[in-house]
Amino acid sequence: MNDIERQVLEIIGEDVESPDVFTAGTDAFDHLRAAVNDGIQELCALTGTYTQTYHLTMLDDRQFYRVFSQTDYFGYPVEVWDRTLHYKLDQTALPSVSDASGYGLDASGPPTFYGQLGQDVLWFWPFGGNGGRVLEIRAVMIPREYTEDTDPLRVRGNHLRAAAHFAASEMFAARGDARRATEHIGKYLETAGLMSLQAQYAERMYAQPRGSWRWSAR
Amino acid sequence: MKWPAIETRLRKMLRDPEGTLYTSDELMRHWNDAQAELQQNVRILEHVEAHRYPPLYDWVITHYWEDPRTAGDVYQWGTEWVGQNARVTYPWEPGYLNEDSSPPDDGTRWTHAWETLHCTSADYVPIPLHARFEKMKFIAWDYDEILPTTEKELSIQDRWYRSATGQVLNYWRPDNYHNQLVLYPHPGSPVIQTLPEPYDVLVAATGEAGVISSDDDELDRGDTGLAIDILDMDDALFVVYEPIPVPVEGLHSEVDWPDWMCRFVLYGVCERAFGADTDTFQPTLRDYWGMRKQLGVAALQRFKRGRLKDRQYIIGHDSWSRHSRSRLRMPQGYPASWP
Repeated sequence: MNDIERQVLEIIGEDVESPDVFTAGTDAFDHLRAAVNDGIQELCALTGTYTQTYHLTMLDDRQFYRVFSQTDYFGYPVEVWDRTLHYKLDQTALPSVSDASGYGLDASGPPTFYGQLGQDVLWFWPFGGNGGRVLEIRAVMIPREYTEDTDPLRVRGNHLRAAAHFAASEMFAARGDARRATEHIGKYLETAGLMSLQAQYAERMYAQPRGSWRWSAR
Repeated sequence: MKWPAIETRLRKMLRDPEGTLYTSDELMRHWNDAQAELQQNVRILEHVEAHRYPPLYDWVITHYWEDPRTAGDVYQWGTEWVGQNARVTYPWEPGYLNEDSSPPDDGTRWTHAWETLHCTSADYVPIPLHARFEKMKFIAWDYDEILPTTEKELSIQDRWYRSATGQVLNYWRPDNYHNQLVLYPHPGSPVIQTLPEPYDVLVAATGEAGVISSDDDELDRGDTGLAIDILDMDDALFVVYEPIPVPVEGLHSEVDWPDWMCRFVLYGVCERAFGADTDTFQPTLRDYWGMRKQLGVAALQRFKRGRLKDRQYIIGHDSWSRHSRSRLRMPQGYPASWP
């Protein structure tokens, strides 16, 4: 049991030292761990705080590459660096390249532009004659599910506590307590700084008291 | 992720771990409904494929009633002569029975699409799209982007549009039901692509050439761990589209969503299960999971925007002039200078 799981048990009122339901290896504990994993993955996907470097070796005359990570799920690239020529590639869209290049998508030379299609397909332009070129892709990743107590957790600080509230919310929902489940999903959003996802926070208006607009200050 | 793993998780969320309240069929129906809703709201699934030309159909049938007895891509040749409930190859055939004449014709009728390589086709060649095709995002023929148009527009511009050949400029779709597209004009001199065996894809990862793939997950990518499954656009149709999520139909079904996104669909399933007007109706939990579903949509939309984090938008200026190579400089300290 790791720190987040202990915190969740405390929130839902379980005995952390000798839990009667959430003992390791039980279905209940698996459900708890899955909820914590969900929270961590959502935080990484939304905030982009966890990045990894992905080395892509280019092949001759290949424009599209499906990327895959053994340890994470691929999110999106935030920087693509040509290790051979020491420069950064610009991100754009396929129609932009096709319209502006005058040569369609077919061109030879070192790549200067890239883009993403779907979850895991990256394309580069130009692409001809690049066999052996190495691109260093720094990408936001979504960590795969941890399974052991000692596995590293890919979030830190407030996000650890936010993940605990996320999991606690699901535990209360599984008990049928929708009110407390809602309460803790709110705490999750506040702790992680994601209040804009909740409509009532995003649409709240703040203004300086000024003339007839005084009423809107609340 | 396979359905049994999802169902196990789902039953815990639904407070029915033993499976006494909800049947598997019921949960599958809720899943299929919820995933369609999520994809419509977020449009996050995208497929990338290459199709060869002329298209390869698995079956060519004569009568429409043969369709349910086939599987795969089906082409129904000829034209339905509704007056006699018969199928005709040439348009003069119906008249031929009434008049003893030899009406002229305007080209060759074909049964299999590859025959168009050896004849002057009298009509357009429909290309089947993926069964789960929903919406086109980008399409190119032999590296050149082609633009959508309508049959009406083409007929105004070119009255011989059905049989014109040349450099492909546009595509159009006859209707939605048949799930096909047509190139305009037909490719002048297409080259037949060879479809690879799955192991060829592995070969490609080592640098061999010539891979065109129109299917995902043909092999265990974990074996190689890096970029494989490479799409080739030479003399092929390159298509990026939004798919209809694959429906779950049984224990063997594998879902379309990346593992970490499955739970966003589960929220919608829980909302539906708790909201059904049965003994399991629980309005507070229905509302809770409904709220989670809405949060999930907002979360995925935010994640989708994140993909553009590295993109630079310049308004009112030609962004193309900002070229990466203009920033190339010689390495610092070169050439070597001595004090």
